[in-house]
Amino acid sequence: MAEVDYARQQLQGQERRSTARVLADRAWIFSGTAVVYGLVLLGLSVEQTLHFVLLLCGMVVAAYGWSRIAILRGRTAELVQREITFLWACVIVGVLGYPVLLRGNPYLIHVAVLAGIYGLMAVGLNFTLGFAGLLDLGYAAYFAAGAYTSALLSTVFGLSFWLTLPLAGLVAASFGFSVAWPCLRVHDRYLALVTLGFGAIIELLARNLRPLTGGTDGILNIPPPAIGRFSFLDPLPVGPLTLPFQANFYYLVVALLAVGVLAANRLKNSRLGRSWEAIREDETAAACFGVDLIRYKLEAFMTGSFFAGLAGAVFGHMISFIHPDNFNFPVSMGVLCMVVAGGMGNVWGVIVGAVFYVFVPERLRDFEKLRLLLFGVSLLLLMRFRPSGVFPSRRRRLELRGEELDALTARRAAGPVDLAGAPADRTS
Amino acid sequence: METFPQQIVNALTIGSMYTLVGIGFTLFFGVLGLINFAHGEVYMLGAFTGLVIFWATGSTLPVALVMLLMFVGAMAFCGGLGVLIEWLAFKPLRRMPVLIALITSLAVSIIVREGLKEFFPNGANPQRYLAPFGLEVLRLGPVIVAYESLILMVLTGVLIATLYLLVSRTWLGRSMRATAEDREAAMMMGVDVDRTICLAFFIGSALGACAGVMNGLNYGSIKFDMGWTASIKGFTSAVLGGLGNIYGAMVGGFVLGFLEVFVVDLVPKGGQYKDVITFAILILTLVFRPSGLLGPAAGRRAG
Amino acid sequence: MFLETIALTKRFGGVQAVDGVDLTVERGEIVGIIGPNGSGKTTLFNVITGLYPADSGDIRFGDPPLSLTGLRPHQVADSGIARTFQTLRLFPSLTVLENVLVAMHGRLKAGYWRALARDRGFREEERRAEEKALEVLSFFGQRLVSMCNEPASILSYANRRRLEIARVLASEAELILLDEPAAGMNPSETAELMRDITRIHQMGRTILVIEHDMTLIEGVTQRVVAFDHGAKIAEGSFAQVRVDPQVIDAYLGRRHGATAAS
Repeated sequence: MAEVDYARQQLQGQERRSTARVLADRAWIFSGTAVVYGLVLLGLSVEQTLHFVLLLCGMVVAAYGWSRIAILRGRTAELVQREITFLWACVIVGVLGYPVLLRGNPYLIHVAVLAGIYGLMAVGLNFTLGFAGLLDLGYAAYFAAGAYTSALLSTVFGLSFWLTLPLAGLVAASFGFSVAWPCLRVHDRYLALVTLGFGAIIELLARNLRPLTGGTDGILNIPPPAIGRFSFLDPLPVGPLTLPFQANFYYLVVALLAVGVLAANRLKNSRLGRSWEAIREDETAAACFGVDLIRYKLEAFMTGSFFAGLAGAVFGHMISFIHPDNFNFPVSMGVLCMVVAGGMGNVWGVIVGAVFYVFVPERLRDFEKLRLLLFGVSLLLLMRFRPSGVFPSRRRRLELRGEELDALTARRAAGPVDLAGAPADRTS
Repeated sequence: METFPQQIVNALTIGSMYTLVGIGFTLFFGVLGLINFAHGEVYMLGAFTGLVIFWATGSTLPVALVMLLMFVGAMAFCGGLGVLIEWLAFKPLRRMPVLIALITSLAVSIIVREGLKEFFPNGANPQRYLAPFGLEVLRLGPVIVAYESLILMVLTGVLIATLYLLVSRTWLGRSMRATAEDREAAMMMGVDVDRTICLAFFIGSALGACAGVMNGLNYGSIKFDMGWTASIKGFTSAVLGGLGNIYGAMVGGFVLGFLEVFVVDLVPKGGQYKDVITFAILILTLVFRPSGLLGPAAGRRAG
Repeated sequence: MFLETIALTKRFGGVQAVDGVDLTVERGEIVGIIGPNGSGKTTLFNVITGLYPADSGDIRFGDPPLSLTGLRPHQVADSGIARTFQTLRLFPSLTVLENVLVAMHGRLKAGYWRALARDRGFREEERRAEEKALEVLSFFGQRLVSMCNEPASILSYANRRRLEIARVLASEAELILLDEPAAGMNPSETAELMRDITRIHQMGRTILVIEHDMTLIEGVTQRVVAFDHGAKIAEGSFAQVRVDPQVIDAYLGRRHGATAAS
């Protein structure tokens, strides 16, 4: 049928462009990414904290303004859609090139690795919270599970990192299962509180189970990963250049993040992803169409805790020393904030959230005293004025507006509804 | 190892503080569905308000009056502060998913705690508190009861009794329960939801502040980060009593107090594992008796 | 017998919402369910679909008959029963197409690992699912198809009702429970709805319709069952049930000697 064909075309939406047009588009994309990249690097290297703050504010304002001016936003969106592969290429080059450009400043690479580790956790929590809508207030527990598993297996049994890494993820996932399953079976309304308690218990156990976890001494001398004779603590030769050893961890983390993003996108665009969305919107209705609530919630939860476990393993082997303080409530809350503030459901948004969360306080070391206070204030303002997060998924934005539209859903509207600012449907 | 009656006194003492804080949590959860992380900091502010009042009047007025002023002043000030926080931070978010308010409460708690740490004179260090009775204690046979504990327990008893009457006999209690069940329906039934929420926050915060002052009197010193532990304990108390169940909250704190005291006694290395066991009980309660130890076991199955 | 409830009961506190209901539905029938508000009709649907556990009694469905008691809602759905809701329960921020795709849950097979692997079979399945979904949407002509990528929240009321029905169609359930599908519709929309229901029936589905609109009941159903206070009070053709004194009583209140207004 013609209508069906048209709709299908809409879904695919491609057109042909001239070579000149393609080149122009690519030039735009390239310069755009270069500018953003340059600004980021600038922000990282300016000497004065004040300059950094000004730069940051400037970028935020510019980005916000850009997104509000319809024509800029529209054109950018179209451009991105047309040349998405090229954009990807630019981004990948930028990401891979970071340690090369900053090889003179290994500390900044180290910070980036930390941001990546937190990013991995944010990607994980995004499955649980962003996709399935389950509130986990004790996420650090799985981070701890992964870290201690990997640390113990390598220090006590001498297992290679490449074995302990996936094992850490699996152990963390099983922790996730043991928390979520009893709760989901009974009544998941209290899942948030149970996870809160569980997170606290794990931290306390880490602190007290001296024979297993080293108690407050933690676990020391965790060996770095190695490939053959190449240890991750060796500097990394790349062509004519030599990168500091932190680059090894950087690329490891980037690879894991890539896996996470890939998993997120694949799961999201599938029956599973749709089911998660449906569960978030109206789980009763979802169940009535065959969606097994308990199973899907568990799958989201365990995926989330799996990634936390991976992050924990990398963390341990990078810092070579873990301690219960690394796995306390502020860590859980931090990841939660990254996900909510970055944009729930949007895997890129949460990664950006993690990057901000790690980098900005680093740069504000001068303001050591007021750092937390500033963090609290910005979080408050963000929740008040942009609760959907900095880079919300379109769903999330709709959802939040939908909360206000709820009152109208069941009643017969007097005329076509147009509260979402979208073209009203007049064809009834 | 202390004697049994002594344990009871200890349990009642800490139980009182836990209960007062827990009531706040239950109230906030009841009317807004919110786990209010900022409540612990209000408790802390209560203690500090008391301290300031003490500094202002300690040398000029008789001790009894000073203590009275501390309590009344802290409760009034923090009650009002709680209302202000609700109005500024939570009210605009009422139509949003609760998660947003949760993060907001976290932000507020950070702001209050760090704000005090920075801007209060010598805020980062512990502050000496009024010790009106010095080292004098009451001796009832083998049991030692500090006068502070006595005041604490009596005051808590009075406050709880008052609250009980308030909730069970007046419009306030009914409004709170109606709002907790279904805010929209309550509004449509003529319940002044705004006022109810306002009062819930006032009462909850005032009681929390009172507990803060008590804590100071009992332990002799306060510190800017005292809110965190109180939050956890208060919150656990509320859950034990059934989150949202005001009557439950009145008892939950004492249950927790007793649990803690006796676990330390009965379990080897109990002191170390006290908190672990507390949380384990919290979790088990939530999973198997989510409506708290007082309510009926929850019925409906998932889905 | 396609669907059979045997002495089905459900209480809520002091209220007997479903009171010993024996209901049978043959394959391919359209049965109307009527009764005043609060007579337990929606509760009956909720119990059948597993949203509430029955207090006692049994529900048998299918051929060979499978007992539905104790099953969770998604299991009931998997056995071949789908429903609409009295108060629309669409997924507002999912697109129209996605709403339908969710409803097709039982027809798709790919799970967690297939989705991750994204192999050829998975992509094929997704593609065919999308085509099928569009086909289902085209049951209503252009109206929903043209909006297939819009979030469901922007649909007009009538289109939302249609989407609810489209979901039920997409699930390919053999037994369809419609809960007040005509609520809030004007006469011309109701007439169109009646045609739609008839079309669905002609596709071979078995349908149970709860409705207050008697024009629809009369025009579409083969048999009518009347409820009051959770119990079945009359059963038969529309003409028979309509003049049943108990039914009149139920609707108009206890007025002895009252006769039916036409």
